Amino acid sequence: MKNTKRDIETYKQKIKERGFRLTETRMVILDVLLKSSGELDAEELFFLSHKKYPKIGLATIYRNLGLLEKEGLVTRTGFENNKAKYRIEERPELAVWKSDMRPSKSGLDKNKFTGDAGYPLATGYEGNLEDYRNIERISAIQSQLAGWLSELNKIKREKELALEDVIKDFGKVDKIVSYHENQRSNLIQILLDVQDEYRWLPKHVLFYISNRLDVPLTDIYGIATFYKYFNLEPQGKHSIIACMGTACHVRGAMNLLQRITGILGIKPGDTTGDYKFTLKTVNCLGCCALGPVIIISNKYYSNPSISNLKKILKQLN
Amino acid sequence: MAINNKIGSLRSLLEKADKLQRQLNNADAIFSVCCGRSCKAYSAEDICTAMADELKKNYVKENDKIVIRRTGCHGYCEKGPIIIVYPESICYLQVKKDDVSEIIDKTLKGEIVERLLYKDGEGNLITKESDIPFYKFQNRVLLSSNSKIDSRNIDDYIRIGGYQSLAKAISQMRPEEVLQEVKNANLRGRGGGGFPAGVKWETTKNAAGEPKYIIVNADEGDPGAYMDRGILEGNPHSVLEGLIIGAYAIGSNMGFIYVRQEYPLTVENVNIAIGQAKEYGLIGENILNSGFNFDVKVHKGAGSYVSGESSALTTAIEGSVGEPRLKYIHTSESGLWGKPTNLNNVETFANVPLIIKNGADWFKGMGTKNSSGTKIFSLVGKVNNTGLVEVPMGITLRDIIYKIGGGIKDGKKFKAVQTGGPSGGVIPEQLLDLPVDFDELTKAGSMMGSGGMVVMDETSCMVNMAHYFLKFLADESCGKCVPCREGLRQMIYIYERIMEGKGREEDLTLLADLSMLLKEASLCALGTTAPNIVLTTLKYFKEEYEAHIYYNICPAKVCTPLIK
Repeated sequence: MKNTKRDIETYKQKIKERGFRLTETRMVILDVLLKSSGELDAEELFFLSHKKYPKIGLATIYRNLGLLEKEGLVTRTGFENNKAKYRIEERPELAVWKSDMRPSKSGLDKNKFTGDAGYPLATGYEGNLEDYRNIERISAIQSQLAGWLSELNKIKREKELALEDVIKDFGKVDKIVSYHENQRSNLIQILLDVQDEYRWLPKHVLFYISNRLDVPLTDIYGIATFYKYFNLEPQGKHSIIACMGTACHVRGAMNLLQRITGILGIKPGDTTGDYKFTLKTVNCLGCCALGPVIIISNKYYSNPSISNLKKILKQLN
Repeated sequence: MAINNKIGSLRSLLEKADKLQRQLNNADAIFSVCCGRSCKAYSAEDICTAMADELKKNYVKENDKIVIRRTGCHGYCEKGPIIIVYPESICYLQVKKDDVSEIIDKTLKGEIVERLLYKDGEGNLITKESDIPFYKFQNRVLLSSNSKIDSRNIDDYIRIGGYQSLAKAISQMRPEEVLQEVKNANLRGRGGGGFPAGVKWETTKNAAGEPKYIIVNADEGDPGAYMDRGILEGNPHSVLEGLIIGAYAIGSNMGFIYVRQEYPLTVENVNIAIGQAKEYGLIGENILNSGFNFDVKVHKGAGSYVSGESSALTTAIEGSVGEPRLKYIHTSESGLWGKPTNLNNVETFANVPLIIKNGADWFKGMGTKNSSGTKIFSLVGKVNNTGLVEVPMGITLRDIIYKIGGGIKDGKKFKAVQTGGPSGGVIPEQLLDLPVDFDELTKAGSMMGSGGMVVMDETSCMVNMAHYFLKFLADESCGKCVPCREGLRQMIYIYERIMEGKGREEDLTLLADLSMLLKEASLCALGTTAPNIVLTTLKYFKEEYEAHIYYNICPAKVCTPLIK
């Protein structure tokens, strides 16, 4: 996909356009970055460039990387082990970010973009039409990105809604609240019963309870996040609870947990993608004599092996 | 209908008990099937159904003369499911569904199924429950009733003399006398603190403010401990009776039972028990025609360890976030909704009816001078006989672990026993002859706690254990005070460093310093007792820390990065 020869020409041109010299160091850096498939940090870059151009020093690399980054030809992609990683900007024609925000050298009509009183519109900014086009392009990309993100969130929300959809009528919630005499002091009991009903506490149900009991929503969320039993996310159809109590710990609860996480491929606290299983840990189930204990869909198992676990899970499917 | 069932006086209670006992004497055989949590996990429920089916199918005539009783925990969880056949009290262990027909058949013929009996080390068979070493060295004052009653049937409890203490207290004693009796018995709080219950009751009674509340703390969060569940699930009426007597003594008309939601069966049994007691007029208005009213409500916890602390528990019952507060004013003076509130542990309340029935002197006859009575421990971990153990105070740890517990599993070497849950410390082999009571264990740097006893053998790494407990506590810390929230986290960092082989020389002093800080500056008992595990492991197992730090070796081969 990448045509290095043509590509490097574009970058060269871009550097020239900006009024910078095409030094050998810059050429080498660009070359190395273009040829490497992934991201490099400054030290790796130095190591590779050094072979081509032995005169180069690490400080030079840092300085030039800073410049290229400023010019938008190189992107800093983040930190790994406290080291910045660099990647070549694949569409140099879009490289506008920082350098174009500087006053242009080409001498344009300053009055065009200043206000009535002759002050610049924004401090440190004197742009031209080309700048505006670039900015428009960037905002177009940004809005596209935002669109994708909202699309993703929508999908996630839809999944949740589909689960919430089951809880359309509040008849059951009403019943529970009335059973507890509409009292603020019974809030925990109400939430417990609601969760027993739906396996989790959907947002709109909490809103509803907040209205009915006339309790601020923050109070409800305070309780729902403080106590471990409450789930604010949809739960799997079957819950798997691994006991991490002392007695189970001494008898190898960690190994059992590793076995089950290995099979399900999720961490404790997570739910499988198909909302079939939720894995949780608990600090003591009070049947220490059986340890290590795991509850799978309300049935207690004492230290099951991998094959047993697989069999049990398969039966639940 | 319900009115007819009400019991009006001590006399009618005695008559009822007598009648029920005579009814039972007619039975040929009574099968007490343990349906405690552990045995249930071993499918004890299936055994009960199989038994009922078998009776229906093959023994139509004798049907009314054979009783199947679903009981609470018998204690010997290691060998579950357990069936005890009365009146001979033959004990069958590790019963399976297929054994049911043989047991019924042989019992009716007067024979014994030998292969299900307990075998001791020399191959001798032991028939009776009380002769099995696990039970022989215990003093089961509270737990022994568990196998004699169906936990969901109030009649069974009345048959063995239940609610007679309540009737005696209400009809023959003034509240002050009841209080004095409990005070004389020196009943110390079984929840861990060991504060005399009588004194607490007196403070609540004399505190200004009405109404007064009384709470049963059954928020048994300690990992590795399930004594309270054993009682509350197997014999809920004994706790209720104690609670009502307590309420009468301090002048309270409203009680709460705070149970963990993780114990659904307990919640169920307690609710059933309350319903039955109400039906018999033992809870409600004008109890036993004395003019004394009392109501009780069950409050389910929602999974928070720190909510077992008294001030946190009261806020949890009020329906808020269960965080502790500074206790310069105790809950006995200002608790639930700012009113005087008495809070005791399940086991404490369960002892009360026995004290009223047998007198303070009887109670003081058991145990040591400063810690009277018995204490239930949940003996778990790497020991041969795990289960609930009730022993008189003052027995040595060695007796509990070797005589009752039957020694260490798989012939391994004993390393330490951890008492008192996460707040306690570890006790090494050289201190095994320590008598178990409130004061001695505290002197050794650990504590009695609620009664968890986790035995560890040579394959447990002490550094790893301390890290495990700190992690538990950091996880459960409410985060209100800084020493606990931040201190525990820093200690965990240090432990992780040591376990990865990156420990530094100064880490040991740093740990000790942090521990002292936590002890001094934390708000509630969770923070002040958290360093116990660090300090005791540092004191008794320093060489293990040093092996990790200086030689990058984990002697027990637990810390994976150090295994080569």
